[in-house]
Amino acid sequence: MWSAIRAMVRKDLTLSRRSPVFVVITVLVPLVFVSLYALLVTVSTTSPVAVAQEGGGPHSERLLQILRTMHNTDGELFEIRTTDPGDARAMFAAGEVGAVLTIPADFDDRVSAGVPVEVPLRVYNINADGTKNFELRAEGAVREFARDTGGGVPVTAVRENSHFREDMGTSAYLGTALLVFAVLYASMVNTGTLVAREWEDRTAKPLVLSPVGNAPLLGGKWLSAGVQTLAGTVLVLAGLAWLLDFPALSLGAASWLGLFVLFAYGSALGTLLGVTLRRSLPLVPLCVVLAIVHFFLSGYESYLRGFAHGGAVEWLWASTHWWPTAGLTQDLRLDATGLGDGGTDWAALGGTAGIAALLTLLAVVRMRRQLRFTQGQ
Amino acid sequence: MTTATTPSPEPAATLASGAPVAELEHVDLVFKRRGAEPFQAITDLSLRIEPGTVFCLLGPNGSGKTTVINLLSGLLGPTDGRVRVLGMDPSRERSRLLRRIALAPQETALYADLTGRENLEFHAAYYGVPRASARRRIDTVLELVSLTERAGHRVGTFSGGMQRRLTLARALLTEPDLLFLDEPTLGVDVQSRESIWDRVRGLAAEGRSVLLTTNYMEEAERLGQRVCIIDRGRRVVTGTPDELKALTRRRRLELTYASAEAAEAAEPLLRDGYQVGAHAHQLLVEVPEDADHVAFVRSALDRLDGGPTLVGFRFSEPGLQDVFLHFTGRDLRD
Repeated sequence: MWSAIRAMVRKDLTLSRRSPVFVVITVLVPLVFVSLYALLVTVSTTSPVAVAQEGGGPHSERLLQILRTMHNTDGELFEIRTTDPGDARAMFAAGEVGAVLTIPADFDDRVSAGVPVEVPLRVYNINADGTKNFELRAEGAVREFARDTGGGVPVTAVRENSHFREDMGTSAYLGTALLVFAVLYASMVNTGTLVAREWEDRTAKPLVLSPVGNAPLLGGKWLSAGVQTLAGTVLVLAGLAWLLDFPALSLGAASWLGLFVLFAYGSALGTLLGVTLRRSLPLVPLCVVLAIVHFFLSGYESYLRGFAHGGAVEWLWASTHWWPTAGLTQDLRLDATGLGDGGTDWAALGGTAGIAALLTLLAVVRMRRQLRFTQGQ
Repeated sequence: MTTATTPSPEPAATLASGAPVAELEHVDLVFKRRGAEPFQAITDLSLRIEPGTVFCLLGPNGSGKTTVINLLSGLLGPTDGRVRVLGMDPSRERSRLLRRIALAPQETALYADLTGRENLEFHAAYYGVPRASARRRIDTVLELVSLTERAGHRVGTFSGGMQRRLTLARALLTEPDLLFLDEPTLGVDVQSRESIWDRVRGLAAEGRSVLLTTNYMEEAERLGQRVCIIDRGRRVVTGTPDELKALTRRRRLELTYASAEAAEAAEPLLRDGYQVGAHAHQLLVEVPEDADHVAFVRSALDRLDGGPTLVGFRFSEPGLQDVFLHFTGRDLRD
């Protein structure tokens, strides 16, 4: 049987090398996803803003200084493009900045006199993360200024519930989810297309008529897909490290075990899709959909929470608390950032492995049933 | 290609004396699928393949030829009846049976991006041919099908005939006792067809048993020591080609015209009193068994006098096409 598995792996890898379209797809999609999120993370971290500084006293300079130096674990919060009032309003009108904050001409006088003063913020009326960021960050700056000056400006209290014992950078939070997405997607597409193409290319019949049975067929496909997925994962990790500063080298043995179990889970899904559809064209978009659903389930919990006010989104958000791949992703996240206590969520690991085994069993049953009706093809 | 000077694989394993290599007894096969009407693919089919012979299954597309191969290889189990191959029940002893049979499927099932040799190497390893003998066997079968020189080229660049020959070579790699050839010359050129036929005859000469499916009458007549005509999953008739042809003593008068249009224009002249059909530039007239041939020709030619100019005429002996027509009332090409 090992000779058959080796033959299958050698054959599949040779074919993939000579006709690499599907392998390229498995790397390209996660890389595009990573690039997209690299852009989003940058946008949500550092907001380009214009300040209309109408006064020039020490208090207005102090507020400006606070705006300039505000930062979180991902970097500076504001990129101040200009402080000239005319330029600031022109840039806002031209859409070159998302917001304009005005420090009024009487700002210093009022602050000195202890009279409340308004610091108007103009934003585009779009209910997006960027808009909310401007509002929250401007409020934060004003609060900090008020603390510095010992009162005189109304302060809005902001309460924050922390998910982690320390704040986690968005790049690490999303980076882990993107890594999970990449492994799941690559394993599903690689295994699924390798299986489906035997039927699509009408080469399955001699394989199912081999005396060694079906085990080398599936075992060989999994091993070939494993090699291709590993190559894709390394590329995606490099992309994550380069574009998002993801701490790829911090992943320990437990994380790699988790990634292997995720590969098994993705491969089981891919095998089931492959033997059911027996066509790679519908299989690839289905894998994209499944991978994105898992991305939401496994790595988007904090974002989903904001939309979870009933209906399917609430159900989806709730399932992030019990679906095993979500727990597995959380383990990876804590390991990558070093924020965990070093423990492993064995329930999540075992649950994911158990589902993978069940899906594989279903795929084998499905394949046997299909063979009867398709007579090997 | 000739068989006299080419090397041959190792001889086939000895079979029990008198026992058929494969046998179907009153086999029914019904496909049942949820939400669909049951489909009776095979009905009360019985056949017996003797050792060291080429047995041809002849029938039109969709008649059940490939299904019979799938029953014999254990890919399908019969709904009713009994199947035995090399003394084994394919449903129960599939793994053991598969070590002694081989299939050259209709769809060739080759990897276009692998070379001919790589396809064979993969198959040999996947089927457990020992590494020590695989290279020798690959060289041998490549030579048998005259593909040694092209073995290093990708199969995607091969002609249809070369792919068929490589499929045959692949089936021979495991040195099977019983070989299934599913329409081995489908869509190949005349040269490749002759080459494949030579090789099939060579296999029988070596003592191997072959089940060959085809819808080419000439192939069945020239290769089959026994021929079973099958239609809509039922056995129509079985026998040697000569026995089958003897079942219908019907001769035909073939009248040849210069064009199909001329043949078509002449046809109404014979319609009254003759069984006649037009086929390309010929009119085919059935000759009754008790007819006086000279009088029959004279009478037909009298009728055609004044019609389009006749190029020639001749009597033809019955072929398997006529046997099929005789038993089913349909043309094999229908």
